[in-house]
Formats: sequence, C-alpha cells, structure tokens
Amino acid sequence: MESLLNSLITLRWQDILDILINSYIFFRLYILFRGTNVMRMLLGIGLLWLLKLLSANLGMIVTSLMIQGIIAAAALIVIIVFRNEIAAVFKVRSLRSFFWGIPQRQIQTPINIIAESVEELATRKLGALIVLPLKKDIDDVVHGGILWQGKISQEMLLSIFWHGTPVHDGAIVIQGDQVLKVGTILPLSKKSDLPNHFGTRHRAAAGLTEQTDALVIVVSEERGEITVFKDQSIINIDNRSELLEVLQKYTGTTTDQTENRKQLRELYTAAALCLIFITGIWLSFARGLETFMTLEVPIEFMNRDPDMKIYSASVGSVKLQISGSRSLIKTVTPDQLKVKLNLEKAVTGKNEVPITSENIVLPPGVDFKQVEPHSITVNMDIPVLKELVVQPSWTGKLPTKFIMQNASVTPETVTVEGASLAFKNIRSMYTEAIPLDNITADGKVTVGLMLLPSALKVADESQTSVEVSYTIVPRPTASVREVE
Amino acid sequence: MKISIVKLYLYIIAVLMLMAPGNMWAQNAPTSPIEPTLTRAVMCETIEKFQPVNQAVVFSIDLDRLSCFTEFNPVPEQTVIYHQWYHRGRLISIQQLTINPPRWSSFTSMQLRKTDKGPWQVDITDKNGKIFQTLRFSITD
Repeated sequence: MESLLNSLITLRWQDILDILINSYIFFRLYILFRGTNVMRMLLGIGLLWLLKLLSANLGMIVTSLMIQGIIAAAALIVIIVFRNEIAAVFKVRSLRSFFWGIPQRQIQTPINIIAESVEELATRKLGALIVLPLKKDIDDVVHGGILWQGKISQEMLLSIFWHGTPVHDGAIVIQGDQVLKVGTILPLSKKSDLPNHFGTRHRAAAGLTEQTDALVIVVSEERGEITVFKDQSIINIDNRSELLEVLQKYTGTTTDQTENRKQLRELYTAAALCLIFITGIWLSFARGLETFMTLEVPIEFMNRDPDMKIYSASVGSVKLQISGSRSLIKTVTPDQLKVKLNLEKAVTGKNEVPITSENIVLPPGVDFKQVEPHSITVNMDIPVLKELVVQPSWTGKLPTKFIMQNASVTPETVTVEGASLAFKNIRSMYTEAIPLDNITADGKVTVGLMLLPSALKVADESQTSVEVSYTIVPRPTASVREVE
Repeated sequence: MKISIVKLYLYIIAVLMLMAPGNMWAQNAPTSPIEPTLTRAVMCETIEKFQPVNQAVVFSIDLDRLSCFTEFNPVPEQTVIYHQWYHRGRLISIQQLTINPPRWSSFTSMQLRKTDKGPWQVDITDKNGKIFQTLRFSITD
C-alpha cells in the first residue's frame, strides 16, 4: 500500500496525461459500442483473459494455453460476425460525434410526432411501413428507395403514405429526426407461422426484424391496426400512448429527466471504471517489479570543433545497465537508448571523456544503473598535409649472385593527409611489398602505397601508386662465396 | 735630400701594401667553409681498407652486419657528425663520429638480427641536427 502511495505521489505530468488519454480512449470505445453485441463479446473476452491470468498463476499451463487460443479465435469471430455493428459505429456523420459525441446530445427521434402520425394513418386506414433502424446497419438488407432526407412532420408522413403517391407502397426509413429514404423494399419473412391476416407489409416488417435489430411499425390498410415488429416480437398497439411507450423502450428516446440523470450516472461510473482500470495497467507497467537489463549502446559525439577530427576512440559502444518494471523493460530496444558525449572542450591529442548519467538518454519509466566503461579516450587531431619521401619495401630474397646497387622512386615524394600528431613518428611512406625472388636484371615495377596507419590518406587520389626503378649488378665472385 | 726621404717613405708604403694579405682588399673574397662537406655516403656490406665493399640498397639478413660509410671533404675543423639509424621510422641508434680536417672518412655498423627485416634509413647529421643526407635501404630474407 505504501509503495502504491509512493508511486502515485511521484507521478509526473507526462504520467497523468498518459493515464487520462488512455482512459478516454477506453471510455470512447464503451460509448460507441454500448448496448451492442460487440460490447457483450468484449466483456466475455475480458473475463476469459482474467481466467487465463488466474490459470497461469496457478500453474495450469494447458488451461492457460487453451484459453489463450479461445481468446484469439473469439476476437476474430467478433470481427467477422458482428462486422455490421462495427461498421455502423464507424459510419458516423462527423468526426466530432465519433470522438466527442455524448449520447444525451444525439439527435432524438421525435417519437411523439411518429406516434401521432401513425395514429392518424391508422384512423384514415392508410397503409404504412415505417422502419426505425437502431444499432445494426440495414443497408445490406433493404433495397432500392429514394433518398428523402426530410425533417419529420406529421404532414410529411401522411403525404408519403397518402393513396396514390408514387412512394406510398414501400417502406420509409427514419434516422434521427429525418425521413432518410422512402419507397424502400424490405425482405419478406420466410416464416410459415405468421398470422394469416398478415399482408405483405407485415411479412416485410417481420423479414427485416428477423435480420436486424430495427423496429418496424406497420399500419394495416384493411383494418387500420397498428403492429410493431421488433426482433422476434410482434406487438399489437391499441393506442398512441402504448405506441409511445414501445418507441421509448426500444429507441432509448425519452423526455424523462430522471431517465437522463440515470444515464449520466451510468456514464460517470463507466468513466471512473475506465480511469481505475487504466491506472492499474499503468502502475503495472511503470511501477512493476524492478527488472535489470544490460544493453550495448553506440556512442554519439556532439559539439566537436569543426577543424578537428576524431581519429580514434578507445571504445565505440558502452554496456548500459538499466532498470524498470518488467513489462516496460521487455519493450526497450537499443535504439531507444542514447549515449551522447560532448566534445566541446576536447583538445588535440588524447582526451579522457567521462560517461555519467547526464550523457545518457532513456525512455520514460526506465532508470540508469551503471555504465561500462566509465570513461573513454578520444583521440582528436587537426588534419594536416605532409609531403613524405616514398621508400620501396622489398620482400623475399634477392638471388645471392646479385646486388641491388640502386633503387629510385617516381615520384620521389607524395602528399599525405592525416592527423598532425600521427605524422610525428612518420618519416617515410612505404610501398606495398615488392618481391625480390625473381629479379635478376635492371627493371621497373609499379606498386601501390602502404598507408599506415590506416587513418592516413593520399591527398591526390590519382597518386596511389609509384614506379620503382632498380639497378642490379653481379656480385663479385669472392663475396658470393662468403654470403653462401 | 727631402725628396729622397719622401720617396723612401712612399716606396716603403708601397711595399707594405703589396705585402698585405689579399683579403684586405677584396670586397667579395670567398670565405673558407665552416661546415664539413659530405662527398660520399653509401650503405655497404663491409669496409675494407677504409673503403666500402658491395654498396647496395637491399641486404640479406644472412649478413652478420652492414655498414654506413661517409666521406667528408673538406673538413674545416674537427667536429662531430652522427649516423642515426631508423627501422620502420623508429630510431634504433645514434652513433657519434668525430671527423678531422682536412678530409675524413668514417663508418658505423649495425649487427643484424632476425627481427631487423624491413625498411631502414640512416640520417647523416651534424652536431646541430642538420641532415646532410638520408640513406634508404631494406633488409630482407
């Protein structure tokens, strides 16, 4: 408990933002999928996940693995089976309502107008078929139709279904406070146990409700009766208030202030639960059991004097030991860690640069423990040009009866670029090894230069080889015997 | 009589002038060199009768030793010179030699070991480090 309080006290503003953002994402997901089958499935998957954790902790390996597999399959099934519900969520009118829409502010269907209009239609025995889609999308099920997008009014509904109008035969689709489409064709029910007096309209209503969660109101042309279809239920409506009650129940639309407050309480509770849940996850990541890890991290040098070059460093990378919660440490990769050394005060020659915590950049939640080595030696120098005499480098054995009396190089000198200190001990530039074994007469050979140390380079890149001319004379006979 | 004495003085002055050293009159008379002049410098297998034998630039490690021969002419005054032996740019030894007027030859030698293979050079310098000449050679199998 104490460590939990300590963890909460040491929260940074980034940690608070982290928790709030993720809590809001969770809360938004709840708002968008609330009441849908997807939400119920997700809750079921959540329970399975908890079971998996429990079985893993109890050492029930097979059970844990089995549940893990079921979770994976269930996630896939949810996406496939409930794709229409998921699609309906993402088919929103605006991004604002997607990221910020609050249910009580959503456009409410004017159920009073609908109820009054339906009652009037029934009184006048005007056949009507009114579809109120809910969560599931019905576009895949209904066909045809003419886009209407008119604001609902009693007059409009009466005129649509008036005898003889071109669109009175089809169904209308109401979305919010608008008649979205008119003259749509609904699929007929294939059930054989529907009442005999049900006409095409009733069968169409039954067919739609069998496949979606829409609510369909049918007004019979022959009898002037009102019937409501919802899922598998067929509700006969006797009066307007009964219709109003059914509409309120299924569409969620209400003018009751108490109902609104109840909904708000539900939302606040959901928000609080999301916050607690995310805080718990955050604590397990940020403040879980401390774990150590050692990683090899390359060194980056900064603020070097532009006139100087780094010729060598004792090491190119360091071993960095870090610590943090296990779940966080597992996700850390070497490219998230940086070791930056400042060479602002470096001078020509060897520089001993210490490595401290100030030189190390770590991701949030990860602590620095130690670094190996604690310092590095950086060799800095100013690059200079120097003209060096080229000396041939011979290898092998000259036949004993010969003496190489003279050798000359063309060009005699070469200009080399390198560190000023490096040239301190360099007196000549040597060629690559020239074999002597088969030399028996005067000759010439073209050979490359041996640039040592390797940091040296020839200033003129076209001058990387030289011509060596040599003179061979026979050794006097007496000295041949001596050498042999 | 007076004229004779004047003439006598004039004659004496003339004789004295004629007897004076030539460099009193010459504005651009050449001075004798202070430093010795190196006339010959070679690497060789051995020295016989103060002369280099088998001058070369490539020597076999099978030889016991090799020598650096230098000849100065003229040598205005007794002085010292140095033979600085370098192997792959690293100074191995400095050997001092005294040379005497009017001319002088001298040499230094190096005992060869198996590890001495590779490029060498000998700098011939005066007492102030000024290099007269550098000899470059190699020791091979």
